[in-house]
Amino acid sequence: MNLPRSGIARCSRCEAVLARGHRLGPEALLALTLAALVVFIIANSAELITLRLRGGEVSTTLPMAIVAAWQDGAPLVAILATLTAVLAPLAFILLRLRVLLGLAQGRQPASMGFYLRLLHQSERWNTVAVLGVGALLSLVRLADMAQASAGPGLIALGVLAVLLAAIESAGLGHLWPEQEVRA
Amino acid sequence: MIDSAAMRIKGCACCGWNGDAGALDDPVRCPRCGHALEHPRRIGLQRTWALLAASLVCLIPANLMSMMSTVKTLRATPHTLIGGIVELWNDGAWGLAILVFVASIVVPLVKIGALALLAWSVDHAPGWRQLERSRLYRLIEAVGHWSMLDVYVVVLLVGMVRFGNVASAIPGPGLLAFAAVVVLTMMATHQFDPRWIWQDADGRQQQPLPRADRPASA
Repeated sequence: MNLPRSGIARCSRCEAVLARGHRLGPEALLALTLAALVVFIIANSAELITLRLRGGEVSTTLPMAIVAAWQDGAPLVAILATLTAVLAPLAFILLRLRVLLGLAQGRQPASMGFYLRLLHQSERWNTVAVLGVGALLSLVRLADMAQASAGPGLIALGVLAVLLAAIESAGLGHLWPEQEVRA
Repeated sequence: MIDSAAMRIKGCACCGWNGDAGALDDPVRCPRCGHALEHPRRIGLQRTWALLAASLVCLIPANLMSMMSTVKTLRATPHTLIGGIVELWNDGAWGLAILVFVASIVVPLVKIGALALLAWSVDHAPGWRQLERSRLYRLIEAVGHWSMLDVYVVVLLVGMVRFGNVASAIPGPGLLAFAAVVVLTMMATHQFDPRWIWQDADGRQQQPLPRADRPASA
């Protein structure tokens, strides 16, 4: 099936999006996914927010905040945050890289189906954009008790959300070669 | 000419494969990625209802118990979900107050109600407003994870505000209940298969409408 660029194929009955004629080819997607990996590392290692109160200064990264939530009596919520804000986007990026690198060499990974089903789940549970807005919100909530400022991690989080959305809109169907016709 | 009556055309929701499932060795698994091509309707609906009931139960402590306690100069103050929104509103951050209200209160309630309506209508009103019901499903699937917003705010505040007795934030029991509501409603949404909307009461696939009867698409 060949769609024109930025064309959308919809189900004629329920109008669900079936496929998009994506602007980006596999090479461009590979480049975007590599960029997303770099931004992901920055978003998880750089400070999200820096707080100054009575001469003291505290800054936190996402993993530090999750560890703090674990220690302060919310281990289940900490696990949930790890799954949806760290592991889901990481799996999203690494699995796509694995499959796209294979395609670039002209072959399919052996456990392609398994990777694809994992990718499907990681897309469903990925909440990077929500975390970004949540970080902005906590910045506002903190502003009335101390001097709070956004760190480089927060900017990286915003960029990561945009990158992941761009990659996700390409869908998963394009990772397969042309579908064989079944008569 | 393809004999569509004899074929069982299926599409995979995961990788986009489509074809005749009748010609496959395993007619309920996608031949390409192994994702389920159809979900048993009876069990799927029961799971949807069970997850919805569980999320409804968790909704009560999520709204009544404190999401977070803040300690400021030795005095601890609990904050509930609604309390946090009222604080934002009183601080003059109306836009943010509305955002959190929609994400934390409106979305979970509308999602539970809408999914209950969808699950009920599969059995009791199979032909009713199918296009609108499909759109409703796509909407709740798309906005579902935005309710995680307040969970992240609490996790980040707990991670940030660590000045001992001078100022600190501690997660409350309501946080876990609220996170459970979000996860359970997301799981309920995933259990529901929107293809059931287009089946008749016996679970048979309906024939598509002739072209002329179809409403003009937007």
